[in-house]
Amino acid sequence: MGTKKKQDVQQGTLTLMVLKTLDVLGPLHGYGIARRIEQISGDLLALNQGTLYPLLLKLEHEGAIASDWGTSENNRRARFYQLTAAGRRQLKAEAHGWAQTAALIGRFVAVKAEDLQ
Amino acid sequence: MKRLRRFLARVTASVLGRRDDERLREEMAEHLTLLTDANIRAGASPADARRQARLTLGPPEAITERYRDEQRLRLLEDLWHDLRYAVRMLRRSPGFAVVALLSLGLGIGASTSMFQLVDAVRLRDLPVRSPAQLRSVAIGGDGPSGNFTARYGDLSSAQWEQIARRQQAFSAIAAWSPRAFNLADGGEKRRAEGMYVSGSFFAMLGVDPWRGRLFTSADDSPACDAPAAVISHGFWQRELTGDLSAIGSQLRVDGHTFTIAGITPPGFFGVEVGRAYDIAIPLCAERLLAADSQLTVHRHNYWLSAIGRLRDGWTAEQADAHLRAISPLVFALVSCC
Repeated sequence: MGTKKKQDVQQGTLTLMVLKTLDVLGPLHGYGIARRIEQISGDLLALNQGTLYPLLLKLEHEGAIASDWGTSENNRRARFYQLTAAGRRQLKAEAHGWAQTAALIGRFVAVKAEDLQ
Repeated sequence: MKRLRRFLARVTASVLGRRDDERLREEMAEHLTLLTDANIRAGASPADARRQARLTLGPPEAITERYRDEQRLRLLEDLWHDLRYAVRMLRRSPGFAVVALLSLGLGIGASTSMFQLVDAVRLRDLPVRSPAQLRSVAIGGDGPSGNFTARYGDLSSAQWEQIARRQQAFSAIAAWSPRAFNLADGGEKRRAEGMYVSGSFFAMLGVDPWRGRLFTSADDSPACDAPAAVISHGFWQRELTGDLSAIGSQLRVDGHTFTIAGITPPGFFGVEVGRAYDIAIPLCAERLLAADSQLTVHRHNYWLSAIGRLRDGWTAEQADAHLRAISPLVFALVSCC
C-alpha cells in the first residue's frame, strides 16, 4: 500500500460531516466548513468543495441549519451557517446510525472462518 | 402537520428556485476567490493558484445543474408518495371514499343541467296568434338549486338575458313573471293581478294594442327611466270606468308611478289560463319596485318563465337540440360573471 487511494464521499457522509463541524465550531461560512472537513479528513477525502453548497442549501430548506450574512476573518461579506435545534436532533440520529452501521460492517470484516463453525 | 410543512417547504422552494441557483453561483464564486488567495499565500503563481482552486471547487455549473435535477426528482417522488398515501387512506376508509366520490360526482353533475324545450299544454289554448308554435324554455336535468319565488320560476335574469341573446330556434322569445301589485298609495291595499314582462312579450305573442301602444324593447331598457304600464281591457273597464283618457295618465304601482301606454284587446287575459291579468310592467321595473328582493340582480333567483315562438321550418326537436347545445356556454357565462 504505497499510495493512499482517495476515498469518494459516500451518500449521507457529507451531511454528517457538515452538521458535526457546525456543532463543534459554531457559525461558519461555507469556505470555513470546507477547510475544517479537509483538515479533519486529511487528504483521505476526494471532495469537490463546490458540492458543499447544494448540500447547505438543502439542509437549510429542511430546517437543519439557518444562514445569515456576516463578515469573515478577512473582512469579506459571507453567509454564515448555524445549526438549528432540528439540525442538532438530526445530527444525533445520523451519528447514531453511522456508529451502528460501522460497528456492523466492522463485525463482518473481522469475522474469521472458525468463528462461523 | 409534518406533511403540510413539507409541502409548504416544497412550494417555497419552487418559488425560490431561481434565487437558489443565484445563491449557489455566488457562493461558489466567493469560494473560488478564497481558495485562490489561499494558494497564492502558499506560494503558487496566480495562474496556478486559480487553476488549482478550480480543481478543488469542481465545476460550478454542473454542480448547480445536478442540484436542480435532484430537486425536480424529489418533487416527483414526493408526488408519487402522496398519491399512494391518498389511495391507501381511501381504501382504509371506504365509507369516506364513497362520500367523497359521490360529492364529486354530484358537483360535476350539477353543471350538466341543460335548457330544454317544454311543450306546455297551457300555452296551446292562449287567445293569441298560432299558439301551437309556442314553447317554453326550462332547465332540465338535475335542475338548479336556488330560490324559486314565482309560480313559473324557471330561469334567472342572467340566464334569460343570455338565452335571449344566443338562441336561434325562436323567431321571438319573451320572459315574464306573475306578481300581485298594490295600487293604493298608502292606506288600504288595492290588489291587482300583475305581471312583469320583457319588451318582446306582446310582439312575440302577436297581441296588438286595442288602444294606445304595447311594449317594445325600449320600455325594458337597463336604465328603465320611463316606466310604462300596459293594462287589460277588463281592468280598464272595471277600475278606470272605461275612460279613454286613461291612456297617458298615471298609475301608482307599489308606490311607484307608471304611465299607462296602452290597453290589450278584450279577449286577452295574459298567458295563464284561469287567471286574468290587470297590469303589465316591464321586467326592468322589478329593480325599482322591489329594492328589498331584487330578483333581477341575484343569480340564484329563478323567477322568470320564458316563452318562444318556433322559427318557421324549425321542428321542436331541432329547437330542443339547439337549446341543449348553447347550454354549456350560457351556464358557464352566468355562473362565472
